[in-house]
Amino acid sequence: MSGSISDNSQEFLTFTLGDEHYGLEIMMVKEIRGYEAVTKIANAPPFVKGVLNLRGDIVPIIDLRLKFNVGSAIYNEFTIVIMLSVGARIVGIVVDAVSDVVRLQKDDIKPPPEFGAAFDHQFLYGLSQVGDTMVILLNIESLISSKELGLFDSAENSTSI
Amino acid sequence: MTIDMSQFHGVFLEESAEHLDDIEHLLMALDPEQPEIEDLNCIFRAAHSIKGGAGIFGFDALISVTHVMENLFDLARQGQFNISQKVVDDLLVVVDTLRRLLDAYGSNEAVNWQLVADATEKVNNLLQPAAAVKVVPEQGFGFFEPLATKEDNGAFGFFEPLPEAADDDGFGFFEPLPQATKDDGFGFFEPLPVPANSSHSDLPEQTTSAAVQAVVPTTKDAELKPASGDGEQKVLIERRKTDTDTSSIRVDIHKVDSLVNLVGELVITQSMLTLIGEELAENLSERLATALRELERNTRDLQEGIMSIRMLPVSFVFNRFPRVVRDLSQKLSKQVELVVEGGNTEIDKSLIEKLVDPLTHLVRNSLDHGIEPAETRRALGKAETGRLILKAEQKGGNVLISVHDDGGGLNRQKIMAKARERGIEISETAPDSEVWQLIMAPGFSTAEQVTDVSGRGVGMDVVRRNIESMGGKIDITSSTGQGSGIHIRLPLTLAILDGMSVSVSDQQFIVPLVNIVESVQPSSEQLMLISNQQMLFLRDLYWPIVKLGELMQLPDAIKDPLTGILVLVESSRNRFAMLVDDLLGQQQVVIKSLEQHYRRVDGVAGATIMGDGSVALILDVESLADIPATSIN
Repeated sequence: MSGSISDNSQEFLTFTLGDEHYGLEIMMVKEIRGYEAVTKIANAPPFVKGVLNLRGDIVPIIDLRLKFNVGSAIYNEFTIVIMLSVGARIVGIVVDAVSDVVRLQKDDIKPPPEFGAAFDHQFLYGLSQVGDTMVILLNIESLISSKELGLFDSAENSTSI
Repeated sequence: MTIDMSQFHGVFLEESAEHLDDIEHLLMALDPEQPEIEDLNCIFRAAHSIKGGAGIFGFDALISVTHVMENLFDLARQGQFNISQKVVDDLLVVVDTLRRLLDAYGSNEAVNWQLVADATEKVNNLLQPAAAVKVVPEQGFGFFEPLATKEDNGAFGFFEPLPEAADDDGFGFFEPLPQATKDDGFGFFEPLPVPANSSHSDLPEQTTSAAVQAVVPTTKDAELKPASGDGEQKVLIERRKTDTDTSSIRVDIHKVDSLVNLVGELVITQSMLTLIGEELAENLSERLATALRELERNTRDLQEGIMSIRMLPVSFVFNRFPRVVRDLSQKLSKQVELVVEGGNTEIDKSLIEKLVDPLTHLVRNSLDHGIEPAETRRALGKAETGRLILKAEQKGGNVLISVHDDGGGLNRQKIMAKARERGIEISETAPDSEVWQLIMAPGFSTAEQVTDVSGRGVGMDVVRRNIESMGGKIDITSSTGQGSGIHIRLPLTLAILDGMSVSVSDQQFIVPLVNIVESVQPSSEQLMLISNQQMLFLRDLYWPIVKLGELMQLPDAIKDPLTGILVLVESSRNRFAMLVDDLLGQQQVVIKSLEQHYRRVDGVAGATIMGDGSVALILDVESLADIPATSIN
């Protein structure tokens, strides 16, 4: 992952989905904003809430709670959207709350255990103990661009019209 | 002073490419029996301009080839050398070589000197019998070498090699110029007289003036300094103006693009203002409304103006085809006449570039498989010379480009048979238009050598994909024995669209205005059920009803056509009545790509940002039309 300030520490933005704590590399974050109504997209998977106008860019919004099946997907004034820059693309993810920015030493990040089929460990960067809580660090870049999410047309898709 | 010459390479290469295009067109148009002196002069000048520029940059390979070419045309225009068909053929090959050299210099590749040698030899061989002059190209331009290293004149490359317009043997008014050697920048002209003594012993004067001419145009002083031949110079400039007809400037396309984007944002801001204006109190709103209307009109004008900067005539693509047709018809030994119509139809630059490949494909296909050999044609009682028509015309918001030949047409049976062979399902009674579409099915043609089935299909699926990626559609017409036509429908521009905004449930959608026929509130006697498909019967036509709310999975949408509004839409392939909750109004929208951050969505052409900042999807009527069954007349 890019964006480490020194060789052995990295900053993560932590957030909650239901009762679980997650973290993603802060350099991916473009901005954090409240949830607002989106324009629905037909035939999209349920976790793709729709698209939103981000200062002239049409960006998709996905709900990680629906994707990871944690917590309940309620939308209120506290619901947060984290806008991420993934390569040249912008994607928003819906989370319950943003908690903190933490700096973690490489040594503090433990490799992820095998979760089984339900949670592909390629989307995990590692686990870390922050205070009393266990934070699941996501490899958000590979998650967002994964085929599983189907956010982007893969090369095969775009050629077979 | 040292100036990085490489910054001018782009300009030079671009200009040279244009000169080569000119040479090619002139060569093609040249009547070998009676060549127009003016045409020969033009070719001479073009070759010469390339040589001059190449000298500055030290592109030796270009110099040697253009030099011999220049020699040839110099003789030709004096009537000392006769152009023949063979000469034209060979010169066209040389032009191709020059193109390759330009590419090589452009991409910083190593020059293939064998090509250069071949090309110069080719031209020299042409010259040999006619003029008993042994032209040794290397000597003729030796004096360019010192020039190239002396890169101290900042003006290089900026100037069109003006004086070449001096087409006649005269060059007289250049005589005063050498006086200018007093000026600083002219120091390196000294070695000039040398080449005059070298090769063309029988044309000393000519060579000298040509040499002067080669260097002069590149110097700042030559243009800025009102030489003693002031009068002539003026005439020259005027002539050039009338020659080119329109004056133009080169602008970086990114600058235009950023203007287009800005104007797009302006349009959004303007519609926001309009919305706010409508909410204001009566007395204020009237004056404001007037101002807003003014703003709207100005914005629209500005938008159209800026969009038109990006527009280029289709002839940019069409102009390459006389050559393609000529070469290919010679290769296939068929007689083909190319007719180009509507070359000045304008279309977005980005589309122009993307049109080249598919059109070349189509033209080659028509020549190869469509138009029959002369004997066959004669046997069929047709004119021996086949006709290939390239046509462009603007129809509403679309540009229609068609490639039409008067060949044998498509063979329905063979296509059907081949489709079955490939496992493509097609009913025996399918309409012709559907059968023709088969030739563009992926994999229809790739496997075996295409000679049969009137052959078409070499990459037809690629053609279709290219066209569809530009938001265009292809239709095929064909009648056995009389020929076939491929019709490409393209949007004028990709950036802006006139649309009707409609609401379904809590969402807004934009229906492109070009697709809308009319909107109706149906009465119950107009509605009927035909094999479970709800139909609208209006003025002798049946329109299948498509519920947009269902397609877009919006459960709260109106489901009863009697309570909603039916928008009758028509695409090139289909027509149907689309049920929406309400019509909101007509407006121009800026098309934003969904694919930039997301992906392609079926039935959706893109998205746009509405006045209130929300996102509305732009419907793609063509692909929505795939969903309902074929309409019934």
